[in-house]
Amino acid sequence: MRFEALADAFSADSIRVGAIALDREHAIEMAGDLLVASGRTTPEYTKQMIDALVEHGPYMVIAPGIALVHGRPSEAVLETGLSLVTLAQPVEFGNQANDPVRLVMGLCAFDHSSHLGLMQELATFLMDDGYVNSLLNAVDSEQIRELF
Amino acid sequence: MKIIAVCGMGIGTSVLLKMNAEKVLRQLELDATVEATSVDIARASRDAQIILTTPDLVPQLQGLPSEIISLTSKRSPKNSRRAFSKTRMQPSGIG
Repeated sequence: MRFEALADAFSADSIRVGAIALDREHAIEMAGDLLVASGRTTPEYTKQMIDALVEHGPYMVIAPGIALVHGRPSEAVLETGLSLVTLAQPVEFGNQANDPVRLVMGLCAFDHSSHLGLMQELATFLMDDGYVNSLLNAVDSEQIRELF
Repeated sequence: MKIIAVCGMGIGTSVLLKMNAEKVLRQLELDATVEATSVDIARASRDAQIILTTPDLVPQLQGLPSEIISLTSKRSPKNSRRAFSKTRMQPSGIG
């Protein structure tokens, strides 16, 4: 199966494998930095992602071990995109059901609708244990890119 | 029947909730529309029969007339199916 929208959403600089995060904020910062590095957002967006965690709690840990962090569409979003960080050491987000987190995905959406095709592919991808395990066990970003 | 899927911003978690819900609604032949939205907008809304959200956001959605369903994992439509089977929703159509 090919995930064309996912492949497009990740640019060359938006995947980091085996990172060490000190805490959940640090993990989110890394996902945000990758969105900035790949030209999808401004640094302000990273701050908005952390603010969302403070304001609404750690609900963004959407499944066991997986956090989907994002802010809202704003001027800080240059283009819809995704970033991804796999963590060498799992990090607690404070989500009782789904902690600890091993995979942090950063999402930025330019508006409320243009990323829906992307989300459909992301949902299909994340529902497949085989894909998720391959992603978590990848030793470099190239191996992850091959999954899409 | 109107369902709103709610997360902090209305673009991430809620969209995943909506997609799973739509899949399950089709399987169960239930007639409902599902909208993804943010907590702020959900708090001002009175027309949804069901709010679909995540346990961390439930306290922020108390006091609305809608029935609240919270799901811990957004990966599996199975969870959505189980949740819907516990609500007042009834299959549409015959048989």
